[in-house]
Amino acid sequence: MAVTYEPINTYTATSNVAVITFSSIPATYDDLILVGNLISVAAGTDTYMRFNGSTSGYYRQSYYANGSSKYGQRTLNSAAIQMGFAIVGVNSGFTGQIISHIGGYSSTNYATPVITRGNQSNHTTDGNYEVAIMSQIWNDTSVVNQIQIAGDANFTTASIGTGSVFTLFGIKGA
Amino acid sequence: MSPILKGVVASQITGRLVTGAYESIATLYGTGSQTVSFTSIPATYKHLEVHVLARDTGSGTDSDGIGVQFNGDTGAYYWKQSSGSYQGNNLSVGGDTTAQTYIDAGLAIDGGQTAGWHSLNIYKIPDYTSTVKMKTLLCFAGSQQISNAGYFFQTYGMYTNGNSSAINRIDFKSLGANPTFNTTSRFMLFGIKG
Repeated sequence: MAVTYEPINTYTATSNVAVITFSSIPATYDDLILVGNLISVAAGTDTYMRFNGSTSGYYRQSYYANGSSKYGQRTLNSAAIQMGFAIVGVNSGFTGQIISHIGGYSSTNYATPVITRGNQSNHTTDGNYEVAIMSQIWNDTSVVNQIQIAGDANFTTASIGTGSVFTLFGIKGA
Repeated sequence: MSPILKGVVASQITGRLVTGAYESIATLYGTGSQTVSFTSIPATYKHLEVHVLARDTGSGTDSDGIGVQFNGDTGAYYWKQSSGSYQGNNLSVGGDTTAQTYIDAGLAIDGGQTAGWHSLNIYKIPDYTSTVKMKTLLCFAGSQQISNAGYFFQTYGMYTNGNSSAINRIDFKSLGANPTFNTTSRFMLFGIKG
């Protein structure tokens, strides 16, 4: 059997940055896994992701729980995938995790679907801890060769904190 | 790969990890029939994982369920508990109160939806070779639709008739009104060593 879960690249932010970009992603795998451990910056909002630099065609259905409350949330045809987590700057220096499974990215048979799991811990009170799981899709069947991650919806604010780490893995089926 | 950190002079690229514990076993595609089956699954791993991109051949524009059976057992030995959200702020919680003939876990988008759109399902089946434990699965399932009707579910399922037997077969059954997986539906089976 072939070994198939391989790291493609890891980036560690050495200063607060607006966008982290994985470019020239090889099309030699079937699925991708993006693992992120983020540090919050006070000016930030949420975490967002784009494919191939596209600024349209992203859909999302989310399930959130924080403190004693839970809720769903949906966006249609937005400019980026909102992933939530980690950058809501209530207290700078708190961390959050993201694990995104990106399916069928190398085949033009598929608009690119994603499932993201994650959490954030940005305050010392219970209601500011949050877990979320969500389904997302990019309405485009192009092969994904670039992934951008930002800490704000406009991809302009340097809100991914120093020390934040992202690793991209490739998974190849038989 | 060309690393780019906007506004950053340097980035740190770590060394490659040794990840020999995760191996591909088989990949199957839908054939226009109701069921896709992995058979003769080797017992040489500790855990299994299945990645599924699913779309059925119906003309509807919603999403349907997927039924999972182990070892070809069609008896009423399957249970599930799920939670999730759909169509914005709607929440869903549901579980079986009687045994079913499959674990209802996963989604398949209808064939009438936007071309290229498939539901994404990730199944995790731990300790599938145990001879003392009931077999379980965890499923994360998402299905987006162009209109206001996206779904996300996480499901825990249990199979109560297989304590002493390893899982050597997994059947995925489309549960839609037109229950057939189309030919771009993709099922990738992986083994994870302990």
